[in-house]
Amino acid sequence: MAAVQETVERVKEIDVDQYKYGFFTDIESVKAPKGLNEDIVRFISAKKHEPEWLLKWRLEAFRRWQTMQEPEWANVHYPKIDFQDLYYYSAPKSTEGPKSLAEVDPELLATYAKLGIPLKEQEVLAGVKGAPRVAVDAVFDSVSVVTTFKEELSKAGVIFCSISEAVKNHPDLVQKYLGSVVPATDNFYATLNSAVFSDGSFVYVPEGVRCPMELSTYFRINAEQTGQFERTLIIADKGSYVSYLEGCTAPMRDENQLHAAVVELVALEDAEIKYSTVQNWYPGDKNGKGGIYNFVTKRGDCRGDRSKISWTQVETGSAITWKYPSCILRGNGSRGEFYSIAISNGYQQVDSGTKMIHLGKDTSSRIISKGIAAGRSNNTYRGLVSAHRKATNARNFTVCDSLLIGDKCGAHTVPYIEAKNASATFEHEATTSKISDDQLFYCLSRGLSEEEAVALIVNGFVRDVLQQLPMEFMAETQKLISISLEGSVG
Amino acid sequence: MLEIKNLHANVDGREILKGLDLTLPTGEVHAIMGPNGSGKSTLAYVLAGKEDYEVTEGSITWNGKDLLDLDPSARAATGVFLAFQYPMEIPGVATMTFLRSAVNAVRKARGEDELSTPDFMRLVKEKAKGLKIDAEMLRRPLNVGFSGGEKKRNEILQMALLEPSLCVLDETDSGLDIDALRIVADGVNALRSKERSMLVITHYQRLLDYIVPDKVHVLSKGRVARSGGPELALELEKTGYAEFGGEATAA
Amino acid sequence: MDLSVQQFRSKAEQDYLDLYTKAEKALPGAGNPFVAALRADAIKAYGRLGLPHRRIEAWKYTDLRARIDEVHPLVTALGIPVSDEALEAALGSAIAAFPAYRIVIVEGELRVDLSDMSGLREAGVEVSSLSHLLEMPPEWLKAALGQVNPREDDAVLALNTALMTGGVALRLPEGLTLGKPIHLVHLDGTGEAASTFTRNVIAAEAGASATVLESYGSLGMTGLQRNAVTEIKIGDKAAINHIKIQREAPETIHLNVWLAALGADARYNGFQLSTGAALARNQVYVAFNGEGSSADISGACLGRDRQHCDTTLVVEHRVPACDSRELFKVVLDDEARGIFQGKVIVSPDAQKTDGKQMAQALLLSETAEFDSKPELEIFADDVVCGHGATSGQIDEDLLFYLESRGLPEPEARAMLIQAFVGEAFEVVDDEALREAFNAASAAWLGVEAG
Repeated sequence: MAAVQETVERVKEIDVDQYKYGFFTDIESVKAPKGLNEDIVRFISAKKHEPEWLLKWRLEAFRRWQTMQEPEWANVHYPKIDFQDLYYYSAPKSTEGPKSLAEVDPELLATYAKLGIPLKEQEVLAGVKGAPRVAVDAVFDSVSVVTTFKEELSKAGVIFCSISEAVKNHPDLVQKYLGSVVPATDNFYATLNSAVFSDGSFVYVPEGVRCPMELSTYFRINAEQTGQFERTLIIADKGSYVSYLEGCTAPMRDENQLHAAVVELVALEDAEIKYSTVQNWYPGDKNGKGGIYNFVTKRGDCRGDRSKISWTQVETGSAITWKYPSCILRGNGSRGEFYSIAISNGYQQVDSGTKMIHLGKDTSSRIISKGIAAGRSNNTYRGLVSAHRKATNARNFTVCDSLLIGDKCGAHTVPYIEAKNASATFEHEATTSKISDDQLFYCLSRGLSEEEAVALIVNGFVRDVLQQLPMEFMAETQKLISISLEGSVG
Repeated sequence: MLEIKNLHANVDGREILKGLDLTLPTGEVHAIMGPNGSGKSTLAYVLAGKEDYEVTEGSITWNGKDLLDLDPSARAATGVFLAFQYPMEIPGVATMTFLRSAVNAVRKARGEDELSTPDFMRLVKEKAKGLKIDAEMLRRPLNVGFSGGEKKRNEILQMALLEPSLCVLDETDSGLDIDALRIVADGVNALRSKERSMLVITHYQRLLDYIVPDKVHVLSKGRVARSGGPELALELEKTGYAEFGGEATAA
Repeated sequence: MDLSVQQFRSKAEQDYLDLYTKAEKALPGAGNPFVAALRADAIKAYGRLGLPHRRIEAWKYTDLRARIDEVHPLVTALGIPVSDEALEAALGSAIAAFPAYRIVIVEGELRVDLSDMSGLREAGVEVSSLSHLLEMPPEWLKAALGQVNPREDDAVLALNTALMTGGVALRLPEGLTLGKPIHLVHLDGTGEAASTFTRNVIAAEAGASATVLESYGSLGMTGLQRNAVTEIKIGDKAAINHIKIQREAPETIHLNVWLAALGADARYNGFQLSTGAALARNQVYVAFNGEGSSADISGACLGRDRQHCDTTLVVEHRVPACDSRELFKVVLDDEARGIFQGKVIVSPDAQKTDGKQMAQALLLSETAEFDSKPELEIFADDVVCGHGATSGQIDEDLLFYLESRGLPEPEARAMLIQAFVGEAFEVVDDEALREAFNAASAAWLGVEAG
């Protein structure tokens, strides 16, 4: 008990904001005027040389958005956002649109190097034997600055580029799938994104192809008072497989910044998409000042029979997270998975979870959520599992566990479970507890220090989810978790 | 007499039994041995009539009656009894209530009168004693929290109470220590009689030291690969199941 | 949240307001300033809240605005003769014969002629018709009525407070141990389709212990709209078993609220069995106000046809070192719909809380539906809390095991369903009641009690 108390004391002593990625890159950028109106939407579309249909789509979304209200049901609290006081487009001046690696502004390359993101293919290739080979799309504020390994991927038939590029080079694919999972009118933030989305990644894996390497997008918010509205679209054609990882950071600023992304995944027959997120946006300082508002709509459509979509997320950043990566299990025998680690500290607020919508026969889903609340944070799991009339033999297994560190934080569990079908078998389990004194004592008696013991126990607590991350990112993520925890726990 | 002819059975669309023939005369005890995956437990479930075990070809008759026509409870009434490898735990159903419902259901189906409560209690007490089952165990919910040995003894108690004519024991020795094994085997031996046939399914020869069979059949790939006397089991203990497609480790 | 949505009043929503306006002057206690103020505040609260609908989170699965088209007039048929046979038919023989101090409330009216309270007053219990006490409420009633675990956001409760006409007020004095249970029988449906608003108030003072059974049945088949509230104040070291059985006629709308608050080292065992009514919404609010207390709130709901049975539970741990347990079993056949919402709230100071909750549903037909929302809201770290929810059909392996022992399939099925429901009955200490519940579930299944 005393040991735990001491650990908790330390949490209080140490600043929350040991944020390693809080620097700002001084780079000249091109911005749209502040505020949001039809002209801004047209401006963004024109900047990207978009076809008429896309501008129309954006404008329709914008008109719809004006009639919508911000959702209030989530367990998060923040002052009203003044949507007219934001920049909706910002791009480094030197990099208007993606270029080849050789043309990228050295300042930007340095930024990514500092973030530990490998952009130089030759360096990656020349690196230590066995080092991961990962193709990266780097998005800086509103634009994609570079995408690596494009050529090698294209040999396999895989298209990996920024969405702006895809609109130009693969308009049929974009037009066919954009908004087909998250309709432009889906919800307040998704609709806003549809109107003003700037950049993001596009992936198409053709029939029968197993994508030869991990794909990754690295998002960076740099400019002040700028919202980031990325849009990602991944299509896995019949029998294909792709594993994709996104990472996110932002400079430390006193103001709150809005990030409202939309991610759409489409898995056709027998295809599998594994989507992993390591979200480390700036969480704000120890007094809760600043930080990113991370209001994200992510949804996967298991459109084909026996398709599979797996979401894995490690959420350590952002002042507020509002995010429910979901699966629509439309195809017969399709499978959805959601593995989540959400760590909140300081004044962070997390309201995250998933939706598993069982529509097809013999569909199955699995949810493992691990929430860790420390400091004065609030951490909510919110999830929906539903089986519709025709979803015979639907199966779901859910475990959501919460761990509380300190007595000023909150952990909440709000699952909705809807079985409209007798043959659906649903099992849901949730627990909330603190680090067990017995476990802690056991570790201490074996010579571990308190912080080592806590880190060890927390690592054990999240292990089921960690194992779901691509090998290449597991170690990195473990480090990130221990940074979040070490910085907070002791 | 049990006669199994050219039995083919599927589980989840996969064929497990592939033309099995077997004859078990009344009053005899036969052992079924074989490597993992040879179809031993499938045979047990097919005999008892489990739904997901689909018979695609062949026949099973018991004293001339077609067993495949009957649902599981009708088979029990006819005298078929399966001692499960993994007896089910049923929270909320007291063991005693369950035993009584089963005994009376079988009696009713056989055209016998239901037992009165005192008669039933007496019967259970008598049969339970030999199996070292006490009253406390009978009050607990069916198999819930029972040890491996308690579950198997409970199976044999049910066998004694339902007085079947065909007993199928599926890996009754699994998970038992030597003392528990002896109690269970004694219980089974006490039920051996001229009118009763038994099929003892086991992976190991050990059980057959206690329940000595009249005949031993070795299953391999869903068929009887070899039959012989009790000495066949001893031979298998030395050589293992390698020649029958199993691991070459001696039992 | 959406006040704009509230601008439009449905007919039924307006009906309730009219009901109040019309009855206001004639309601019990109309001349008493305390009661009149209580009612006036309540109807104002209702006016603000409106009739609950699915956009209100707590009513997501039970949309009263959609289910109630019009509100029936307040019940007027008083003094109706009720035969023993009618009473037995309404409650079932086991419950009708349950040995207890029996207090019968017909259409909101306490019927001394049907009740058997001999010895209750002698045992030290203060018992009165609520409508009588409302004319000049004693201090203990003032301290309890509308004060036990008050809810600002509950329209059903607000309507009850505004319109309460009958029910019983019970006071269990300090240290009293009542050997025999008290059975509050609620019977309705003798005349035209009507609305009733009954209210029971139970104040168990320090160290008192008792078992209170509430039964709800229908004498006729009219479309009753029932709104019944029980407030129960449990003093330090008091122990109350609180049990309800509801088997009302098929077209009944049954809205029920239990409000319980526990002092220190107190114990509360609540249990509800629902088999009747077209729509039943059972709300149970429990608050721990004193340390070292424990509560066990369990129940079972058996539904068929197009029945809709909703159990909504809020357990608030406001102080340290209390335990709460919930186990709810739901069996649904045909097109029945079952709902379980259970929220456990642990306040920042409520360290050493131990809260566990389980809701399990067994779906017997393809068209049945079960929705559950078990919630944890935890603000203290030194706690052990958990919940579970399962939904599925009868386990085929268990069924096969029973069948292989000679039980014909229907019997085997019934045995498994009874065992499933029976687990919840374990909470009930009283053996006679447990047996009555087993009989009720057997009767529902159409088999003999096992």
